[in-house]
Amino acid sequence: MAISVFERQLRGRFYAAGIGPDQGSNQTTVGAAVRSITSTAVIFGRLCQGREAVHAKQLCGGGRSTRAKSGTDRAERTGTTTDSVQYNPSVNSKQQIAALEDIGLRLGDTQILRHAKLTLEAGEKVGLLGPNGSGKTTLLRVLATLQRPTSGSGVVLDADLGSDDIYRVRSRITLVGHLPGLFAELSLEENLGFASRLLDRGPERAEQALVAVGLGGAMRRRADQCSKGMLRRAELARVLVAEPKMLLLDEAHAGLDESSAGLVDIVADRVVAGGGAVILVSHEPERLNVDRAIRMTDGSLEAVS
Amino acid sequence: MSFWHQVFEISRKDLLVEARTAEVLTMTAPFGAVALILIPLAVGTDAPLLSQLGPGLYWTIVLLFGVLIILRKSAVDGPAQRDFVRLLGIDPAARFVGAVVATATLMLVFEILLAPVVLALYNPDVRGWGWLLLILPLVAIGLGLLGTIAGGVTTSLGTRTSLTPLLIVPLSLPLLMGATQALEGLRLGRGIGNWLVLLFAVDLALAVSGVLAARPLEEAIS
Repeated sequence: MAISVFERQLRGRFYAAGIGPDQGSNQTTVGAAVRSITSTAVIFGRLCQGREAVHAKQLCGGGRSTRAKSGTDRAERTGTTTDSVQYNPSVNSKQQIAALEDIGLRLGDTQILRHAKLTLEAGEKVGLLGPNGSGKTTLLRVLATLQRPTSGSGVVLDADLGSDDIYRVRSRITLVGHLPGLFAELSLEENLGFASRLLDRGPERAEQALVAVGLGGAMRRRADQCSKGMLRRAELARVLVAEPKMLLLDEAHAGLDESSAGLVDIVADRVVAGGGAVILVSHEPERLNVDRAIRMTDGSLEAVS
Repeated sequence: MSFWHQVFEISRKDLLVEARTAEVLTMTAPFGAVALILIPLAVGTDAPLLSQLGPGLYWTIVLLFGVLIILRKSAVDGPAQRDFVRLLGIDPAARFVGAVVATATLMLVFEILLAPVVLALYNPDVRGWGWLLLILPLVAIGLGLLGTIAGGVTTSLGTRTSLTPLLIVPLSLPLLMGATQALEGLRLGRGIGNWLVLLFAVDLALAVSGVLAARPLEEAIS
């Protein structure tokens, strides 16, 4: 039930967004596009079916928001119905994903972060705004446990920043930076297959994820032969493969045109529905579909009303 | 996923990247061969002298041009790729060993490609060819270990291109000496056990150091 609903929603998203499943090929007829989109949704459904039943329920509930408002808004935009969408009880919205307390970070003579405080709970989508150079990317790297703060304390997925526990939780964090992390010489399929195998997600996961973001026909194309938009989609497919508890999207909509931007919401919603949390950085606040927003100014965080 | 499975995946990825660019085959090996051709032109066609110099020059070229292979391999992983791999939850030691396996494989291929050039141009008098089956991999592994450690150190310091050769070349002297003297021992019909022990000991010391330093080096990268 959940799978078919998700298929329907995904199909609706693609229809509404006007994007085909295969940006790399030249399918131009409406019929071919419809068939491809349908197969995309079916394969995506199979992707969900391949997991344990309970897990599949969590995953496939990801197409729907647990918050009525955002669900309704999106349904209006995409033309999909959310009548059958049910609240996923596996999401514990009180579970803390990350908490930063007075975090500071100094690199050389430059103070990047100043007394940054942030709490992130399961089920939250938070927008991070701020001008260039204000420290947004550095904050994401701190949250991803890739950068140790020089002052303050923090906990990410129950691991204290600075402790050896961070190695245990890293595979549950996905950071999509503004530069693609894919290896240029490898194909999209090889890149995601590499991640999928190391994360024990199964060999078919990469292919299914690429099909799901509309790159089914380009999966054997080398990353350095892909456009910026295709690479961005492939990075979003990487999120589908990783199934993270915390997703950090830097410049979330960079490289994605208006019609493809819905993918960001789909991917973010899946993470949230799986009991995770998402932070999205964007220079286009009007495109952010989040629960709350915070602004970083000169290394400090403040809530945006 | 087990440690060795992670090692396999890392080395497979690195070798796949190299297979796509074929830089060892198409650029570094021909460049090394050209260097071996130029030396007889510089020192003259004194056959006995070239025969005596051949093995030493071979190992020198392997070392110096091997640095290009190591530098190239380090350059593949930019900051975004390193973040990508770190967030896959891979044990840094597994990542180190995987990188060493890939680099050592490339070095071994490079050694094998250059060997016929030395034989053809220098006609070295080497007996006990079978020992090369041990010496070539030991040197390749040693250079792979050294290159991966040096790459990790310089990446964490942000000075890769300039500092890596300066770290590798002096520290590889025991490898160069062991390999050269082992071939000389074979030529003179002497025992080469001590030199093989030296090569093995250097490899072991580098392997232990690299595995122990893998996590601190990875975390030092910001």
